[in-house]
Amino acid sequence: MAQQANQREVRQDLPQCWKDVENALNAGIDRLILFGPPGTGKTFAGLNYGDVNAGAWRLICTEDMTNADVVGHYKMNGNGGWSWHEGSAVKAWQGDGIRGGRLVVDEIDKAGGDVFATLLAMTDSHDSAKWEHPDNGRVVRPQDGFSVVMTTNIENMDELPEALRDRFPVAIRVNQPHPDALAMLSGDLRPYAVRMADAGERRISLRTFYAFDKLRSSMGDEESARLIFGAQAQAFLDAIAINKVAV
Amino acid sequence: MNKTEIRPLPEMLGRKDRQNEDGGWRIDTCKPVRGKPMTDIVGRHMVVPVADEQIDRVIRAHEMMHARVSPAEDFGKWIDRKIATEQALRVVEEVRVNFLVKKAGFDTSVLSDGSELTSGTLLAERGDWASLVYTAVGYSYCGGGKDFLTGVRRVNRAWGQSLKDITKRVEKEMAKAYKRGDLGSTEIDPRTGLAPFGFAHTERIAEWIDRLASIQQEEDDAQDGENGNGAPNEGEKEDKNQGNPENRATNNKANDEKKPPVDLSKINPADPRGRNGVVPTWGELKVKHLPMTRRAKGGLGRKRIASAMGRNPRRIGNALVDPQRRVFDTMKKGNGGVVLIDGSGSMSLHSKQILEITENAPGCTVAVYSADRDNKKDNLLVLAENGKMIDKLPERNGGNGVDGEAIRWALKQRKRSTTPVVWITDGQVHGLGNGGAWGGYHDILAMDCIKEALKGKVFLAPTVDKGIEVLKELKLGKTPKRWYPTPWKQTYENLNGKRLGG
Repeated sequence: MAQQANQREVRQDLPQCWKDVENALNAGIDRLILFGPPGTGKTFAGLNYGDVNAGAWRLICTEDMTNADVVGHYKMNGNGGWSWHEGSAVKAWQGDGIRGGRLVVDEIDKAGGDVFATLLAMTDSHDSAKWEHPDNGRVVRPQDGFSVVMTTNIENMDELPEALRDRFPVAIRVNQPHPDALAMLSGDLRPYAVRMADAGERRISLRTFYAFDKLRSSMGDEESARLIFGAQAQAFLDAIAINKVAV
Repeated sequence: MNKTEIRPLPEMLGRKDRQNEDGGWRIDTCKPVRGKPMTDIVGRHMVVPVADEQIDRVIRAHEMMHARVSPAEDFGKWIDRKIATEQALRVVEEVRVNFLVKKAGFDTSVLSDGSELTSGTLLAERGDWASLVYTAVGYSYCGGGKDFLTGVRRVNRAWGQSLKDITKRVEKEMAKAYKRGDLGSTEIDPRTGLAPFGFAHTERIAEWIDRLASIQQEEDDAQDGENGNGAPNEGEKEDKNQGNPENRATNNKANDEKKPPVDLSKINPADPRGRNGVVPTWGELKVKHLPMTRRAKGGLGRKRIASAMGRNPRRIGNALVDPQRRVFDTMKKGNGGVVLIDGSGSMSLHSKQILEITENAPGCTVAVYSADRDNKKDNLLVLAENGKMIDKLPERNGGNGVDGEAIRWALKQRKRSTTPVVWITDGQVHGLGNGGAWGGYHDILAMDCIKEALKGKVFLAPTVDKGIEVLKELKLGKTPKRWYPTPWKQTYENLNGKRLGG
């Protein structure tokens, strides 16, 4: 019922990649990988799109992170004792107590071996996933409605371990910023932000365009470009000049 | 110390004909020397100088403009239209790109590598008018352009002035097209299905440049034709003298006196205003060989000649007067001929008339052409060839659409270069539009037909009766009087400033 309530018409003005994301999440796909260039709004989509009424929790993977971030850890309390603090994955399992929430795992490819193994366990299918609480021995299972969105910047899904790919059969390449995110940028810069989101080694992220947009209102184009792009400011401004002269 | 490298950002450029393209471009570096920088739009590869210098920056802008407005996959299709030569298309595209680069605020006068003066002098000394035209036009808006013209003027003042006038007119045409607002358009042309739309201006101006460049050749050809006494022509004499340095000064003086080939101010580009400045395209030629059940007796140009061998001595008198005593006859094969019939509605031809002309062209290859709006059906029907002809004519399509391609096909069917080609047409040659639209008459398409007709020495006739007259004269070994359709005459005079055939 709740899922049905969350299903909404997919906007027709969306780029294909975003239509795919919305369609997948609206259809109830609960294991999804979003990959592609950074700065296109993959994490934002994970945290906000689809059924996230029971909450959404985010994990940013690095080589140095530990399982404490995933399942939880003991922490000293003010009474001289220790109390257990649940990690993002367990919180997402439990959601609002009635329905499971959303776990968003960023940069999955950067997670170390231990964390990766734990994440595999936590993102396993509903029937196989369980975790024993170290404090009270209670067995915790994901609530209905628990979903996972993983994001990564790697381009080739074959580089992901087989076990992970098996758990996440749907992988969508997001190569354009979401129109809602673009709407916050001045109109004349939007086409450039779209094209540069997926421009390989010379890509310019949406965040960089936001900064340029903000700076230029007070400093002008040339100074703002110099501050943000350094030596490449000339290339940036020349490209705009050339693009403008043709229709 | 590390020098700053500035790499262009072609990924930022948007084109309407190439949307949804992802991924980066490969940028390689080169020196700021003519011929080194390049842009491959399809392969997303650019080679440019990357130093933080003014000339490097303008070259980068030039290559970026190519990436922004020049044709990608469709370039081959533009060439295949045969409206303009590839050389002219490339040269004028350079001008369009430099014009737009200048409009974008870059100083194109820095585009020069110092070789222009020498190349102008050398080309002028060689008397190579066509190369001079293409090169001078290509240097429009570049700093090197002035040096090039100076080099030409040192050898031939009159040619230098003519080339200057040509480049000025090219620049004026570009400015005029820019005012129309579609010079840099990358949309797909709805009439031809080709992209980018702005390249249609390049094509139109390139066609004009081709005409300007070919003037000397035409004049020389005309001289060659008239000079039947075996004496070398002026040009040949000059060529022979060129190898000798002592003669160079004399040559220069001779060249100085040489006037421009013709009054260039009378040779005009096609009007960009008519039909949105877009040239309709010829449709693809779809040839169908119909079943030929009848034998066509005789042969155009076939004749009896005296022979020393044979069965019946038909020339018995030769036994007395011919030292070789050729008293017999033998048949000499004729040149044959090709008859092309415009089967469009404007010709109002009945099947009977077409069969009549086929019968009057024994031994000739006879074909009728006519396209439908979408050019889906066969549009050129071969009615007779190799001594056989059809018995019954199928229905025709009603439109033109393939006139230029049909005459090219007809010229290819000649067995020898002297084989006569007769084209029965009223000259209302029309291209095809896109999506079922007729392309209409266009000066450039008409010029395409005129060029082919002149080059192939085609005999034109407006009606079947006139066509039969032409064939009869050819049969008798006479050269029929040349006739040209009225619309062609108007087009030729508008664009070339002189009468067709005059």
